Formats: sequence, C-alpha cells, structure tokens
Amino acid sequence: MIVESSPFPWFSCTRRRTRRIVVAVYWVIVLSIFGLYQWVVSLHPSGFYGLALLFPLQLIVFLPAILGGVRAGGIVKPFGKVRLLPMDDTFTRLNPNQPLMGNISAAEMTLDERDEWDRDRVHYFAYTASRWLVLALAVVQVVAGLAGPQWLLRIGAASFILIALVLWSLPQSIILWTEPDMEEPQ
Amino acid sequence: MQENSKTLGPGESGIYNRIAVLRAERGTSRQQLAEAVGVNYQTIGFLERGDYGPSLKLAFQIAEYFSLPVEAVFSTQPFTPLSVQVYGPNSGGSK
Repeated sequence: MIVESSPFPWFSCTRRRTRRIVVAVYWVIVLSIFGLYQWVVSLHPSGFYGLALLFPLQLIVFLPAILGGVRAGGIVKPFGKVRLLPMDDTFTRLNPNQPLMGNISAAEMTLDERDEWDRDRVHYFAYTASRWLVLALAVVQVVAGLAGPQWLLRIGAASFILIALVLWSLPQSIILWTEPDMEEPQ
Repeated sequence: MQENSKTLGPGESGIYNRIAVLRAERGTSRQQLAEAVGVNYQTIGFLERGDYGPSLKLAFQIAEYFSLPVEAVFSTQPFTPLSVQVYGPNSGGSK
C-alpha cells in the first residue's frame, strides 16, 4: 500500500518508524491549524479573521495529498485507478526536466488484491470513527445550544472541518501507522 | 523443522501455506513470484507470514506457478513438516 520509491527525495518511507513520525507531525499540524482557527474566531467574532484563515484551511484540504491515497504522488498508493497519459512523441511536457511524480512507475501505484483489501479495511474503520465523531459533535451542539458557553457552540459549528479531515486522511494515516517495514524483494 | 514452523504459521488469515518453503526450494525471489502472479512483492511477504489470505484466483495462480495442486500449497490445517513427510514421524531431529 506504500509506494516503494518515495515521492520525496529527502524522505524514505520504507521504515514504519519514519512513517509514524510523518503521521504524528501531520496530525499535530492539522490540529494546530484547527485550534488556531478556533482561537482567532473567538477573538474576532465578526468573522473577518476567520475568513482570512481560509488559506490555512485550504492547506488542510490539500495536506492529505502529501500522505497520498486521495491522489497519486503521496506516500500511500492512490486508492482509485491511475489514469496514465500516453508518453509518446505526440505528448509534450511543459517542463521535460521535471520528473513525473518523483519517477514513480505506474506499476508501483497500482493496487493489487491485498492493497484493495487493506484500503477497504481502513476506510471502514474511518467511516466507523467518523460516525462516532459526528455523534459526539452533535451532542456538543445540543449541550451548547441549551446552556453551553459560546466557545463550545463555535467548536461545534466548525467541526465539519474535523470530520472532513478524518474522512480524508484517517485511512492513509492508519495505513502509514500500521504497515510493517518493507521487506527486500529477494 | 525450524524453517517450517516459521513459514507455515497462519498469522491473521487462518490459511497455512508453503510459499516460503517452495520459493526457497526453487530459488525464486519474492519479486519473481510477484511478477508472475501479478501482485506486489510485499504481498508475497504478507502471504508467507499468513497475514493475508489470498483470493481463490491468486491461490490457484501461485499453485500453477509452482506446478502443484492448490492443496499442496495452501491449507486450512497446519502442514506436516517436510522432514516428517520424507523420513517419517520418528525422524524428530534426534541425530
């Protein structure tokens, strides 16, 4: 489920320990951005600064691409089918010197039956986790709506971002966390 | 005996197999077997450890690769060690 040739030249993803560090850093960044958003919105309820934070929120949307799965080019193989472009003489690249997706071959990005089984397994886990998350956030909303403080209401209002993040990046995170060290092809 | 007990475990899949033994016997690498049956070589490692139970199609492909019946490669019961099969139950490594 992990691409053998790392898409990042400064980082080898063959070892589980390294992958776990990436996942931990990823979630620290994501939750920090979410916390920062909550803090700024609480300071400026007019919403202007919250709107200004749309940029880091966009980062949140695109961060899962680093982990992979959602599209080709990340550490995890893309979950869907990879569409290959014809690389013959009729195909002109804007920058021929730049390697395509870190020179990862199409065969490396194609899922075999175990990859598909693993993909389905982690997506089911993420679906179940997000179901409980939605339930918990709904309870928070109800409590906040009844007699809760204003900050609690804001957390509930912005929590759709967290749910989206869980759906978009929890499957990849589980794969990166649980997949054992890569073996030698011998 | 040591090799057999290491490679025939069912892991999480509940399926025992002789892939590692057969590979060693034929001098085939994981990469070669993986390419022949159309999977990633990491998947062969998962199969050997018993962490993944193959589909029926993949099981037959692997058996065909080794030119053996599928029940000679995969089983739901632990395989009898090759030393016992060849030399009988009293061989036991006492020599």
